[in-house]
Amino acid sequence: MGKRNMPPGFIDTKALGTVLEKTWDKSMKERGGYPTWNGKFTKGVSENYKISLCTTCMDRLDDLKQTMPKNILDNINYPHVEFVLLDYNSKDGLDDWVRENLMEYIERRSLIYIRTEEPEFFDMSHSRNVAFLAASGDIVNNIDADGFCGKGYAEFINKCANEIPEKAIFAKSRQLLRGRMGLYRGEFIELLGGYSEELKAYGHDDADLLHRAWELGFIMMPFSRHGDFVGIIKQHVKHQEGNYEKPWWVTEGENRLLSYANVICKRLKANEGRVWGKAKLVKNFGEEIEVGVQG
Amino acid sequence: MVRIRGFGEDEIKALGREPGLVDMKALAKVLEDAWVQSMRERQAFPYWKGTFTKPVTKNHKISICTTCRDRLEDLMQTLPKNIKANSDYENLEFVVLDYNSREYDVGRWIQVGYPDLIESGRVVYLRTEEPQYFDMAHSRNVAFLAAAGEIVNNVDADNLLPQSNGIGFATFINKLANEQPEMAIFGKSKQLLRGRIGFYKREFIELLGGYDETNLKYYGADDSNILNRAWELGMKFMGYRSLFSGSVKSMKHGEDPYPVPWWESEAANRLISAATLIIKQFKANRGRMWGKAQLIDTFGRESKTGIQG
Repeated sequence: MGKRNMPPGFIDTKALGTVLEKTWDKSMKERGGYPTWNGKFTKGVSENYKISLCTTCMDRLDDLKQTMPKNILDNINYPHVEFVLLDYNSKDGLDDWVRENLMEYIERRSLIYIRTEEPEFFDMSHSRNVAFLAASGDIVNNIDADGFCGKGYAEFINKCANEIPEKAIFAKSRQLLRGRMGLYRGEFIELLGGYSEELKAYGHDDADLLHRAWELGFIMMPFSRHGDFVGIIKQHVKHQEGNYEKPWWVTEGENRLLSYANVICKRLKANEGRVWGKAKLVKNFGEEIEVGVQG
Repeated sequence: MVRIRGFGEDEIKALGREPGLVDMKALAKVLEDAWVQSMRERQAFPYWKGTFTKPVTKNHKISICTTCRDRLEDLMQTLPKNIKANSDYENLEFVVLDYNSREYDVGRWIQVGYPDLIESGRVVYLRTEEPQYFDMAHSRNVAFLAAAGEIVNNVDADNLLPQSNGIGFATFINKLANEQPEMAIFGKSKQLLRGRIGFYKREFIELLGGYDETNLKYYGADDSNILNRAWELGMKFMGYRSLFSGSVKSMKHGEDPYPVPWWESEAANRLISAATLIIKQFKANRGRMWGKAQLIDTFGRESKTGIQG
């Protein structure tokens, strides 16, 4: 349905979101712009951070088959890497596939496979929160199920962390996150309060977290110019249908509007007063665990 | 479809009090205008025309709730008069929530002044010692949850409820309730609430999810937010306009201690409130415990409030 055919009273949340976005953008620029690392390494590597590369998915086994083994092989040489795969109530046989193909990594403790059977629909913010909370790394990184992170990515993130050992945002680039974003786990929890679970289903979750981090004085360390750390499967679908109650563009418009309102009002720590990232999980096919933080 | 008024470069430039400062109030107005236009296009402001058509067959239990923090001077001028002016309605309680007063012993004043009414349950005094700052949404939620009435009504500490046409406020609210036995908003007027707003308690909890503690902090937009959500949900505004009006001389925004200036939180609350309305978040506080407090009454009895949203 085109916008011209919308019913009486329809509000174009995208247009309103743009009004807020432009205002916030101008405000940020007046205050000195978006803090970004200049890309030059000035310090040696003296610490090896534990790095968690987290992937969340619901019914995306075909994508995972292409990405997960390759991402593991491309990064397993970094001794302090941990892969976290959150199965967000998939019904496409992901369980069996992991058993058949990835058990070796679970046994080596390189991979944590966690499954929740609670969610009916996919939810970007909640799923990422669950994965980041279940991870044990000093640094938690999201990689979408259809994304390749490239060879030596974990090692590169460690190099970045040695350069900026606090308040860093490890991300692809400012313009297009493609779900590729990482933070120090402690700061993700304590300063940012996780992904905002006020943002529902699909859309603007990464941007919201990034913008709040920037407002809190974090520095972005873009990796888009530092190597081949970005890739995507050939059959990539930008907006996956099927796992959401509402069309993606509806929730994206809504989330974007609410996010900019919050950022403009300096509500920078999300999820205050609620338990966030809450889930009951089965870890590595056996252990039952619960995650969640009281915000 | 609603036409969006832009927030142009000139307006942003005109803000220029300090680099990067955003005029949240002006921005809120852009969103509010869009929402009001949308409501008008949908003809979604149902209100009572002011004519009673049904007889009074039920006397609802009504709670008149007042939250306060160190506003004993206001309360001393209003509560005695409000109790007296409502003596014509039996099924009524006055709930006073003492939101951690520090300078004045509000409880002692009520205990000494109204031992009989406390004993009979006509006056209920509850105190919480947890909050550091006053918070409109949370304090009202606590009072409404602690109240025993089927209808819960907020009346500010500086508000008087004089009788009109020979009847008291509670009697009139009950008449309105008999006229509109569900999905009703009991309020002063659409334009000016002055803290006078009431709901059926069940609908307040189950449909509205209380005042929005998730998005509204400290002072401002709390009443208008719940009113607008109620409208969106199809509740009818039962306005009594200038009847039962009055207030004692008081600071408009009280001297309640807030960590930020009242106009700042009001502007921020307005902006976020308008955004949540536009994205149709009509039930507040989903996923969080709201109206949560530990309370103690005049008899030293402890109780707890709180709803998991």
